[in-house]
Amino acid sequence: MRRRQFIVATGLGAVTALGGCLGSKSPPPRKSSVVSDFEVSDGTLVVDLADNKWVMSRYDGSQQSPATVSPVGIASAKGSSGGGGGRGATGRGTGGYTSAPHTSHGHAWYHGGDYADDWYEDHEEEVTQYPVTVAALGVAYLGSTDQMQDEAPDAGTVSWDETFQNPSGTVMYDITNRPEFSQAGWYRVGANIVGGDSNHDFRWECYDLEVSDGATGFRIDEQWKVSPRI
Amino acid sequence: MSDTRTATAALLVLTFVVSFCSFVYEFVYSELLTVMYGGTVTQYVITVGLYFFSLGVGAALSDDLNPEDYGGNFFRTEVLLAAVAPAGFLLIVGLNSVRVPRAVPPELLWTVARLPVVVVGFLSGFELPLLTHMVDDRDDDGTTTPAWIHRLGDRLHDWTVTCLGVFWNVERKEGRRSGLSVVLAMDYVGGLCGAVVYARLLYPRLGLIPTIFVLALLNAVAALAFVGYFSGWSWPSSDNDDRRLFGDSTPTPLVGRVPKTLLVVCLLLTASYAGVVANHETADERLSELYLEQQIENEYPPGAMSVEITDQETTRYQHVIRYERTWTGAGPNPHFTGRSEQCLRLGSAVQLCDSWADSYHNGLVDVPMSLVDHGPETKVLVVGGGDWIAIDHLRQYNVTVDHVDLDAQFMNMTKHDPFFRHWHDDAYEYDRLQTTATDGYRYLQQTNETYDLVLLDVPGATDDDLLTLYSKEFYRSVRQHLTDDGMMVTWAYSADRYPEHHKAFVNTVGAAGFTRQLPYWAWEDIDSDGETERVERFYAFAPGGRQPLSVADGTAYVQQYRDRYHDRQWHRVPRYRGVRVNSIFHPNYDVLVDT
Repeated sequence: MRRRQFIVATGLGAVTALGGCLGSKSPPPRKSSVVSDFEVSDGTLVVDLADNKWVMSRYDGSQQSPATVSPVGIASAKGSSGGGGGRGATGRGTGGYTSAPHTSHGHAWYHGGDYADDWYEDHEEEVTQYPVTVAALGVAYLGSTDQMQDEAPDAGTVSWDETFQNPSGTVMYDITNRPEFSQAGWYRVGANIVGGDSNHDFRWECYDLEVSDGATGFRIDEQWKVSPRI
Repeated sequence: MSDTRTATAALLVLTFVVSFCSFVYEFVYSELLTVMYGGTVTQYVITVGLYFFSLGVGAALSDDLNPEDYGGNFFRTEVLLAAVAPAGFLLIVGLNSVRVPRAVPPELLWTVARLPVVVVGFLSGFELPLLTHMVDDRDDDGTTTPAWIHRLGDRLHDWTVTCLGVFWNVERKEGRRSGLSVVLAMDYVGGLCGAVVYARLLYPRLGLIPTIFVLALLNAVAALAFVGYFSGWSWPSSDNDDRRLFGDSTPTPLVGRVPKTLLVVCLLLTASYAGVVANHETADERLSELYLEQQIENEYPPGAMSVEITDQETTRYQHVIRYERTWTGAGPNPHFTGRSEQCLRLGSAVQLCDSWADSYHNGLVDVPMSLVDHGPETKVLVVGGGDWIAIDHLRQYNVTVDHVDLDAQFMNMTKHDPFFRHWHDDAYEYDRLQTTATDGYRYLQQTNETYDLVLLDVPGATDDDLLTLYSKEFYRSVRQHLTDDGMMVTWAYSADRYPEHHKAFVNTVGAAGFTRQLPYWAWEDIDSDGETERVERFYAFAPGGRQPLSVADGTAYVQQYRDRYHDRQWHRVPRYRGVRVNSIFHPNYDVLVDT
C-alpha cells in the first residue's frame, strides 16, 4: 500500500472509530412554553406568563404522583465537583447570544442546537407534552456580566431574592429595590411548574436576563431560556 | 562471548526495557485519565485502542526511516519518549488544573487530553521495527551461543511445536530464528513484566506521578546505554562481523553521528529524572497538592476561594484528601460561616465540610428517625459512613445498628483523628453497634437480617467501581432485607445539575421494587446570614405505602425545621421513558456523574 493511501485509510479509520467517543451524548434541554415575554418598565421587571403553558418530558404520565412544590434556596451537594456542561449553545454573557438558536418566544435557547431537533425526532415516543401551571415564580440577581462570565449557574433553582406563589398573568418585580445590588447585570427568573393534569412536579424552568442601565433607563439586552435536560 | 553475541544480547535487553516502559506508559495514562475524567472501563478501553492504533501507524511509517541510521533513529526515539511521556502526563494534569474558558469546546479538550497517548504510542511504534532491523543486521547465527542454552532451547522448542501440532499443521524450523521473532518475543516478555511490576510495585508503592518519572528515567538511561555501547567512541576496534554488517572495510558504529545537543538533552533529562525519582515522595506530594488545590479552587469564581491541602492518604480503596478552604471573595461568604473551614474529599467528590457535617447527618439520620420507632428493637443498617458520624446520630435513639463499610483502613483512620472525633464523638464504641468491614452488596447477600431502616451513606457515583452500589441488584437486595414497614434512605444528586444520573437512578430504584418515595432536604443556615438554606437532597424509598412524616412526633431536628417538613408526603416513584436501568451485568453509565 502506498504511503498516502495508508495515511488516508488509517486516518479515516481512526476518525470513524473515535467518532463515537468524541463529544457529549447528553439529551437536549426540554422544550416548554411558560413565559412569553420580559420587559423592564420604569425600573420594574415585568414577566408575562404564557397563556397556554406546557412542558415536554420523559416522565411516564401513566403514573399519578401528587406534586410538592420544589423548595427554594441553595444546595451544596455531597459527592459533587464540577459537572454540568454538555453540548449545545452556550455563551450567556460571553457573546454567544446572536448565534444561539431562539425559541418561539424569542429567547436564546441555552444548550439548544440542531442536535436537539434530531434528538426529539429520534425519541418521539418517549416524550410527552404536559399542560402545566406555575406554582411559584422566583426572581434573583445573579451578578454583573463579569461574574456571569465566570460562573453562570446551571439550570434549576437558585437562591431567590423574591418569590411569588401561584402567579397568574403578569408578575412585576422592582429591580431598584435592592440597593446592595448593582441593578444592571444578570437576573434569573424561575418558574416552578406543576403538571395541570398529572399534578407532577416538573421543577423549575428558568430564564437568565441581562439588564443594562442606558440613557433611557434599564433595558433587557439578552434573554436566555435555561431548561434542565429532558 | 563474542562482540556480536554481546551486541545482540544488548539489543534484546534494550527491547525488554523499552517494551516494559511502553506497556506501563499505557497503564499510567489509562489510570491518570480515569482519575481525571472518571469511568475506568471507558478510559482504559479508549487508551488501549488509541495506543495500539498509534503503535500501528508508527510501525508502518518506520519503513520511511533511513536504513543507514537505524541506531541514530532509535536513539532519537528514546530521547523523545523520555521527554514526551512525562510532559504528556503533566499536560493532562494541567488541563484539569487550569480554568479552561467555557468557550473552549469539550471535544477539543477530550482530544488534547488523549494526545500524549497517541504520541507515546506512535514513538513506541518505531521501536520494534528499528530493533528488529538492528538484530537482523547483527547476523548472529547462534554458533556462539553456549551449548546448554542450545539444548534447553531445542527441548523447549520441540515441546512447543508438539503442542502446536495438536491443532495446527506444523513443520519444525531448524537454524537461526528471524530478528522479528526474537524481538517480538522479548517485547511480550517486557510487556508482561511491565504489567506485573506496575500492578504489584510501581502503582501501589510509588503512585502515578513517581511512576511516570521512573519510566522516563529508564527510557533515558536506555538511550544513553545504547549510544554508549553502540556509538563510535566505544565500538570495538576490530570485528569481522561488524565489517560485514555495515559493508565497509572499517568498523562502522551502529549509531552514526549523534547530535551533541540531543546527547546533552538526554543527559539533562536523565539527571533531572534521577533527582525526581530519588525524591519521589516530595515530588509526588507537591505535585498532587498543587493539582488538587487548583482543581478545587476552580469550582468557585476566580479569586473567591483559596484551598490548602492539609493531608492526603491513599487507602486500598480510595484517595482521602483533607483541605482547608478560605473565602477570599469580595462579598459576604455564601458557603459557610467565617473565613475558613475544613473539608474532606474521597477522590474528587466532596464528602464532608465543617459547615454542613451536622446538617447532612441530620438529613440522613434525624429525619428518617421521625418515621421509625426509637429503642433497641429498631434495627438500622448503615452502608458506608466510615467516618462514624451517622452512628453518633443513631446512638441518640438507642437503636441497634449494623454498620458495613468496605474501607477498614479509612475507618481506623477516622476513629482517632481529631477532625472526625469532633463529629463522631467516639461513636465506634457504641454498645449496640456491630461493624463489618466488607462490601455492602456482599454483606446483604450473606446476611439473613431484616432492617427497619437502611441508610446509604455511600460515596458519589463518580467511578465504575461504585456502579454496584447504584445498581438494581443492590437496591433489590436492600429491599429484600427490609422489614414489613422498612425503608431505605439515601442522599441524592441534584436532578437539575445531573439530569441523566437522576433519571437513571430513579428508574433503577423503581426497577428494584421500590414504589414509594419521600423526597426531602436537610436545612440549615450554613453561612449565618439569617436565612435557612438547603444543604442536601435526600430520598426515603419504600416498597409500599408508609405513614407520612409527622412533625408532631418528629425528632428535635424535624421540629426545629417544622415549617420545612410539615407537608412532606410519600409519592409514587416516577418512571422516565427511554432511560435504562443500571444493572451490574448491563451497566448504564449515565448513572455515573462527570467530575
